[in-house]
Amino acid sequence: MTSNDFRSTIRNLLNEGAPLSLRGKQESSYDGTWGGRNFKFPHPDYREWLNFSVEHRLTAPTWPREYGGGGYSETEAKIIVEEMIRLQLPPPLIGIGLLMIGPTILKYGTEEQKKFFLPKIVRGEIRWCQGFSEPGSGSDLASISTSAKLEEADYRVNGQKIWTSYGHLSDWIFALVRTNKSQVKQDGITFLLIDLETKGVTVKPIQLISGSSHFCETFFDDVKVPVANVLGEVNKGWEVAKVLLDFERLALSKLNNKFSMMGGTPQKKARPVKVGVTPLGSLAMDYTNLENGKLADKVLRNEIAQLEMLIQANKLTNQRLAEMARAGEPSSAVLAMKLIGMEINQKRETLRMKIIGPKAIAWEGLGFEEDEIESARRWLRSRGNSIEGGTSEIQLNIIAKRILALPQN
Amino acid sequence: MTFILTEEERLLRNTAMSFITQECPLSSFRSVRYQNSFTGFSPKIWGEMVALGWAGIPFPDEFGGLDMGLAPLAQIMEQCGRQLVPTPIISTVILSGQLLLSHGSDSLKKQYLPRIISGSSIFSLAFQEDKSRHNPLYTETRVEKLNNAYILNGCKTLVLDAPACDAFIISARHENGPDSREGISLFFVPKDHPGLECQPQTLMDGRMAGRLLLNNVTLDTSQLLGEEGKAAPLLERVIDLATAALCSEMLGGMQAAFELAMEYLKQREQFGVKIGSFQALQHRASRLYIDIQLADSAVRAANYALDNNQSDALEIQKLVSLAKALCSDSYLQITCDALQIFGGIGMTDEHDIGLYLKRARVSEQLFGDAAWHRSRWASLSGY
Repeated sequence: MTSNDFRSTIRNLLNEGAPLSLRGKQESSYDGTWGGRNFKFPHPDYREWLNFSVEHRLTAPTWPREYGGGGYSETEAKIIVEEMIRLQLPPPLIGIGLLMIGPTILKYGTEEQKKFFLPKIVRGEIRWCQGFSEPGSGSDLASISTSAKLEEADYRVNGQKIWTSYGHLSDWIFALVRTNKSQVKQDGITFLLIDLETKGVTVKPIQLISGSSHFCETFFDDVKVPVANVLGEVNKGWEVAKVLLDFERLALSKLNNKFSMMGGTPQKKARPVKVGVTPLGSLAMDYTNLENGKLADKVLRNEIAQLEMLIQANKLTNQRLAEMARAGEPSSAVLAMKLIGMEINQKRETLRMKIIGPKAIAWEGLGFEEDEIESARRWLRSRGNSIEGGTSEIQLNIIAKRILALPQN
Repeated sequence: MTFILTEEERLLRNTAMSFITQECPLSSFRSVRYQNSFTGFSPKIWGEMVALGWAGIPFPDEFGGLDMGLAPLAQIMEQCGRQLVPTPIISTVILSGQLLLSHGSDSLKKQYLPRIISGSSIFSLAFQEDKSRHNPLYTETRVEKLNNAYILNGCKTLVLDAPACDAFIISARHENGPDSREGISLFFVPKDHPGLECQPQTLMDGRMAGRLLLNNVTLDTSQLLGEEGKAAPLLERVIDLATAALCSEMLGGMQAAFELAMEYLKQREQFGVKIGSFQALQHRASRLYIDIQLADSAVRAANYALDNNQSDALEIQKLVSLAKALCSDSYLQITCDALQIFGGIGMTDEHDIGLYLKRARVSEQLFGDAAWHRSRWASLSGY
């Protein structure tokens, strides 16, 4: 089938079957269908859209058909996404099952693991969370101490994970556990898949400086995990984790702002933007004085332009790196993109507070708009962007080591 | 939009890379700069570039050009930037050549475009004045119309490559205040025209410019480019083209300066270890690397947009301002940080990093600095 034929097949399929009510809903405030036992669909049509996509194998287009995937090529998968975007449909299913642990199971899993987990991920039946960080192991991730001791056919897991995103809503966790106290700390780590409903697992949400959050602490108290749930080889979990993070990076690099398969934090109530003006410019025009129709505060004006330029340059760079990867000339510069994205978000929230001014310090009470109240929380939350998923300092170390090949001590 | 080079661009990039590394070592420029006889670039090297066809790249077949559009020039400028090779590409091929091509009369085009393409003439655009700062439309130079003649009086400054020029395209104002968009015209004036005096100016990086004194320079209507009094958009467009080309050069320069500094970090030892193992320097290097990645994307996007004209004019102008703001800030930051990494040796004239630092400062100021381009971006974005 030529790509044009394939495109028209998909177009017809979506025209016929995608719920009418969801067309044009891509940029709504809905944060996505994450799936799993605890997931609540905001409307039955989202469930119908998921079922339709599962039936027609559109949720994991490139995975092999025997595991519920579509068996499609990268080009065909891109066409599927483009056709969903054409109808402004939200992604039928999102999350780290599809983008991170799924591809890792495909690469390292046993036949039994693939047959058990992949179809459930494709159908949105399992929601995953990641158990890497521990209270004593932040930037120095390889120093983890959560232990797994072999007792007959099971591991006994004891310890604590922290910053497990959406742990309280998830069904399974993929965790790094210590199976050997070796000299080289990376060598004694195993990658383990654990059902969160197993006896001895406790998940507690964490309250952040910005209020409630999706982060949790996960405690393991003598939790029995079958040996069959080791992904990859015993004591080789560090390698599996690196591959998983590369899948994450790949997913982030392909990320389309309007069609995020990674989820996101949509703004609750977006302020209307003036015609012909950028959103930050428009916000500043609402809050500060004008002079001949332009912002009178030239310092603020300059700062807004500087941030907008950074945002634009970042977009262009993501586009350039994605094109290079598609052309078979991947650039190691993708390793640097997490840092830029994170800094942009922090700068944006900081600038929003600055523009809104004194009203941005409100927490609750009368006399404030919803987005004014929200701005303080968003700014506070954004301070974590340079910590989560590897601190800025670790990102800079990675660039220095892996891209610039600078000498290491 | 695509960031992947065409086969044509790739070939040209490789040719430019090998020609420039073999024929234009930094040492050759080092020895001629600041000399009285220096006109701003090497006529011999420019002659060889012309022989490779580079001067004819963006001109149609009928004038002897290669009709390849502007995008391939970006590849050449980037390579020139790496080795700091001065060429009259911006003054002659882009500023003058593109104005002549788009708005010159048939006779001007027939007479002068072949001279650009064959390398036999050097031209430049004289728009900058003492009080212009970064606004290319600021014009105090006056033009009066008497019968069918135009009479120009005023003064231009920082006219690129002026000492080597055979003629200039000069902006002058019929009416309105000095920074109005209305009332500006462009004229093609040979260097030996009565009433025109050209005084050489040496820039901090050793390249050359000139000051033009216009004293009752009397021209006929055939020397007018485009419509009388309507030159503002022409000037803005051609300066955008030149800005994008300069940005390509700046991108090459910042990459080369960065590579020099990275080599030094891996080789220089203090306290018994390579200084590149210090985290303070590693983090500085990583930040500069990110700056280069961002500038790279912006420069390629701007050049692509200008050459293909697919987006609307406003979006193209925004991309040019994006590229120039990023390149101005980053080239300067990278060369200053690189000098810091080299330490004392970097302060000596003998070391190459100083040449890059000077070029970074000069190119930052040409065609609008970062703050000016951010202000233009803000205006184009409606605030």
